[in-house]
Amino acid sequence: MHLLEAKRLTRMFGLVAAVKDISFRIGDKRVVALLGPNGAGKTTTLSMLAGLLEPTAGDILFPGLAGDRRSWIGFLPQIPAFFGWMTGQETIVMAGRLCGLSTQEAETRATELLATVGLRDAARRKVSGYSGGMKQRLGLAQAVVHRPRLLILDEPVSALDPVGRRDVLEMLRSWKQEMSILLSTHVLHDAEQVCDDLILLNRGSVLEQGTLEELQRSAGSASIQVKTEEGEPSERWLNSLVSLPGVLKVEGDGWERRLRTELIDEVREKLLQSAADHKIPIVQFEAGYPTLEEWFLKAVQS
Amino acid sequence: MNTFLVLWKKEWTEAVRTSKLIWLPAVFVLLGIAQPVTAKFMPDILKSAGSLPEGAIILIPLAKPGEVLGQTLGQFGTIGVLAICLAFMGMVSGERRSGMAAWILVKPVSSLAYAASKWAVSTILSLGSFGLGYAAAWYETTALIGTPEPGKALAAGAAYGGWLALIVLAVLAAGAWLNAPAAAAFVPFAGATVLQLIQGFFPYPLRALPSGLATEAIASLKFNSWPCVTDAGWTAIAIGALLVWLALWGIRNRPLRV
Repeated sequence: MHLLEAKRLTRMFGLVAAVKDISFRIGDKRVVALLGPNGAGKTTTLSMLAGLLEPTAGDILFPGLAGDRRSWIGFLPQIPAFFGWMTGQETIVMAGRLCGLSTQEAETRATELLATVGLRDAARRKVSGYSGGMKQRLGLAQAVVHRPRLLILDEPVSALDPVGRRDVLEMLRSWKQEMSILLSTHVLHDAEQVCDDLILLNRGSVLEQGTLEELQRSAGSASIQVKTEEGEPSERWLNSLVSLPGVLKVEGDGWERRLRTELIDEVREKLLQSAADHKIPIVQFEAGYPTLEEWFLKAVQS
Repeated sequence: MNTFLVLWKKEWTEAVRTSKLIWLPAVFVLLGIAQPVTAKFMPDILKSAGSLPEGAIILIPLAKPGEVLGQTLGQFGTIGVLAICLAFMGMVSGERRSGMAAWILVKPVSSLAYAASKWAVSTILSLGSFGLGYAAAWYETTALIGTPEPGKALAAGAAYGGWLALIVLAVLAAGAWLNAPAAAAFVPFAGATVLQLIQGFFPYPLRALPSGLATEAIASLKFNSWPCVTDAGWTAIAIGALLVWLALWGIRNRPLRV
């Protein structure tokens, strides 16, 4: 059962289409990454889902959830904004109250969440004195105060240092038990770590979508990379690799080759066997599917 | 209703913590006190400041109490209106600029509750400051010059309050459409000034302009008559309704800074 369905969403700014005709579904309790280079339409898409921008055309459906969809959504914008004159505690309480919690509930939830995001000591301080990382944590806390079904995060980790980034990813992993999370990012490594599904946007259109594994497999044939020590036997051996059965294509030069293949297991076995037979000094050997980064670059550039 | 109360409380706390609650009434009270004092001591001020020849006789008839109150309203119409525009210019446009409007409106909050909370607080604050300033002017006038007629003074004050309430609405509507807070302050201030100016040239034929509320309030105090603002009142209500609609439309359509 999916939680949200976007059908043929389009958003124009004047004559320019920031997002054109995109459709996707978000499953219940899935973590979905919206990937894409800058200007791909990620923020526009998220703003439409959050109800901040009206789509020029298309529908956003929450099957099974009635009423104002904003009640089911928690949102963290790219640059989280706060009232500098409020304290952290007051900010979360106000967010909770606006989402319909009672004063009592909001207070309890605020204390609990500020501890979760590591701001317990700063709870009574004015937000204007918070650092960028603290504001990001506060932003996360206010986004989940009402236990939303869908948490939308616009670039939640891009502005953080490695420690903050790890903490945020940890929090996302634990919140994943309770809600679906949709996040936009261009840090592919993070996407790989927490996400179940990926949606790749470029110039306002969906290029590809699917689970992490599906997409990596579709990104092209598996490949084996092999590097040898310099020497005449190595050179002869490397040049003979094209004729190995199952190899589709050989790329690279010097003492390094990349073999594309559909039959990775067989080719790997034959390659190692042949290297052993010929006593080839291998220095590096890597087999696998293309990394997310290769896939990303390939998809965006094509 | 619930969200309205939360936002209403937030607006008050903000007014307190950004000292708006102090300086806006202070401006009006100062203006209210200054005018009767100037009116009373003008001959002395001129005598000590001007390099007049020995033996020059200055004869300025002491203004009537109502006239002084009217002059105070004239001061409110320039500096007071400017203060109101500056105080509330950022209420919508500033929040949109900083992203706070989006922060509030992604939560299940209606744009009506958002606009209404801002309108209620800014109107109460403006009219409260005006009331304090007007009361201060009344007190000083009574102490220095004489007691104005209470009923007529109240009627003129009410008419003038209507004009200020309309300006507050204009500031909110401008803020809903203009991204720069300075522009949101300038447009209503310039509008109010121009209206008051052209009405000064043809007070009677243009009596239906909303600024007629202000002009008539001042005139009625000066001539000790009852303010007659029926036409101006109706136009003010019509324009007020239009501004409410503009403000709501702007907030609903442009929560983001795009």
